[in-house]
Amino acid sequence: MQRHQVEFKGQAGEYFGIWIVNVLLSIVTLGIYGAWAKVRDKKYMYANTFIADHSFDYHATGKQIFIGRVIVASVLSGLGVLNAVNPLLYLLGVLILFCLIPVIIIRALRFNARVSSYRNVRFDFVGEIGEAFVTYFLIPLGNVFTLYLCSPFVARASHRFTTNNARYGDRPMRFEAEIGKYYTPFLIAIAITIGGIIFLSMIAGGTLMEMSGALGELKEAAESGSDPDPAQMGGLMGVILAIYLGIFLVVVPASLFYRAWVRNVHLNNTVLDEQHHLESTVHPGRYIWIVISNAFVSLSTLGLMIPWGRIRLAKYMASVTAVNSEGSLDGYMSDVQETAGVLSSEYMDLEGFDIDIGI
Amino acid sequence: MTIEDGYFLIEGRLFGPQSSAFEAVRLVVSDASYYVEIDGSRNGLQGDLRELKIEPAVGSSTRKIYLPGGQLFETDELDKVEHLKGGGFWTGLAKTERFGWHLVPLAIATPFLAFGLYRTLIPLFISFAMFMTPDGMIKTIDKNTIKTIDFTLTKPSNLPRSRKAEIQTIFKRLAKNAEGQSDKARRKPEYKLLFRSGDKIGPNAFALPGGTIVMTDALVHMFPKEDYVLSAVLAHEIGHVEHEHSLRQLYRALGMAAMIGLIAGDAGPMLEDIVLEGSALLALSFSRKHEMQADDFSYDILSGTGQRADGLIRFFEKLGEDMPIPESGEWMMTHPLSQKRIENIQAHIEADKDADK
Repeated sequence: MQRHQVEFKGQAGEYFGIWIVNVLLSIVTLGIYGAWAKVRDKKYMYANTFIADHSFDYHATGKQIFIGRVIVASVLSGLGVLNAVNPLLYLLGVLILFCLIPVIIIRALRFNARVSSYRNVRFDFVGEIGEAFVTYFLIPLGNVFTLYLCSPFVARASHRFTTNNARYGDRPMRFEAEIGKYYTPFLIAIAITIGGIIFLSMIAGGTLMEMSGALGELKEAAESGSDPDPAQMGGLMGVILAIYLGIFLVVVPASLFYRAWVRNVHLNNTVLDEQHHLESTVHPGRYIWIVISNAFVSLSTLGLMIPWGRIRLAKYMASVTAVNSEGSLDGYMSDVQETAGVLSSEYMDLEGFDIDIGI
Repeated sequence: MTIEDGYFLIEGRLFGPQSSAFEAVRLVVSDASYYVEIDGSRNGLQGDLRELKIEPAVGSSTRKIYLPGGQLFETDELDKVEHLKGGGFWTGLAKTERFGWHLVPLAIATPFLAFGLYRTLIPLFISFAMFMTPDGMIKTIDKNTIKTIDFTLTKPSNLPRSRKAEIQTIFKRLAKNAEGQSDKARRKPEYKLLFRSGDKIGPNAFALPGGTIVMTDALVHMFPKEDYVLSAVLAHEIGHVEHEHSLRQLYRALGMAAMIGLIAGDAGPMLEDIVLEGSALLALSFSRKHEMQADDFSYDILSGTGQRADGLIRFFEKLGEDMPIPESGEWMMTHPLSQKRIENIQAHIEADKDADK
């Protein structure tokens, strides 16, 4: 068994230059350069991620991304106008888009896999629509009736779908894990949330009383049939703001905790070609600290430290990731054909949901 | 022979087409052509330099060169690759990206440019979109919005026919007064007043872009003997229509979403959320500005035609009697604080008194 540590060799200063030029050119070109900026950004991150002295590479072109963005932006703004002109037709449009989600996910996963390579061999994704439908529609349906208590099943289904259908060249990836491994961090995260809320309400008891008072007044007003208009909204907004703050203080760390642990479960149970075992040892506390302190530092420097934060996180994630190989890493042949699906990848990019596969 | 003579060697490794197997090789460059050497002897790969696909430099990472046969040549001798292919957009870009003092002015310029873009481009986009909007679309917006709220929010009005007729008369007179009052409006709205009832929206009135104005029974009941208040509220809503506020807000939201998506979209997950929240707050301030504008309009049109113009003051005071009015926290509301709006109208009244003297 040979252990290959993942290394990230990017430097904050060097990345800062790329990042600030990206932002500046995106502004000057009214966002058009953004597509090319994304490619440079990804290329830098990929090219500085090493396993066994070889780096990854990102092959999408700015033009591909740009075309995808134009199409996505037209569809979304078309829907926006439709919403104003004819709300019922708009709902139909949203419904159609919703039904297309499995197709969009598959094309995005395939595009992202096919434009990624390691040691000159590309990744691929061979998932089918039926399985995507089960993974992203049927299984999450369980959550609807169980107050999200099925989330671990949803996470595992997604990991199964994305990993078991991933290919490195012509070699398959395999993932399997018992559901208990997902429920452990899930239950701990719930415990953190509940404990955090109890703790917060103890130290901020008075505020909570005020909050429930304001809520009570609102309820009375609503029952007596009077107006929820401008004046009253102030009190409501205060309550919403307090809830926001509570979410930030409790739910964000809890969900980061879950995410870190689940990444370990995912990668530690993933094997490439039955001989290369992935290994992930993220420490949840350290991960939470890095993500939250990054956000704080980035905000308090008006965004100038965003690149530093990103490099810091990438370095940490690499340092807790490794590949344990039974055989040699040589000799894999790529069977990847044409790339397609840039459209769906951009849809996910604009909509902010992001699916990560493998390493 | 030296690099200046156009002859040099680049040490690196060569991967077969789509293969992860590689050999240590040397790319020998001589004038305008190249060949590949393994252990000091040629391996048969050779050709014109122009056939090489040299990937642009990104930071100080390994440079990649694709050969016409699909082979990949990788090297860490970055300077020598620059000699292979100097100049061009991407080379200049990579030089600009290098870490150094020259980045300081860029970093300083960025927020100013972003702000300037926001200040010029968004209004420009709104004006352009307003200009391009066909009249038919605005009429359709009115029609379909009414259909939708009737389906989801409101019920038919229970007001007596005579009361409705009284208010309609006031409304028709105001609509006539409004004609030609706003220099901004390009189209002629088709004013129409509808009455609706519904627990969900309480005492309320709102305007749609095409000139349809909806008033609720609860609002009419609130001022049974004070028609001047209702006429001030109606004039306020007509102000929204004349200034085309709802279309402006719609296009502003679209423009902001596009701008954030294209420029700040790569800021990272948590920060993107924060940027979006910030833009929502900006949209609220925009909405408050519009409310003030409509208040001004209401006052001007009523006093300009010799009618009682302080109805809004009474409206806000009555609103305050029925429920507590917040005295702060304006930044998170769609409407300005009532106190501020009362003061605004009072300032108008004072100004008119001074003018009369």
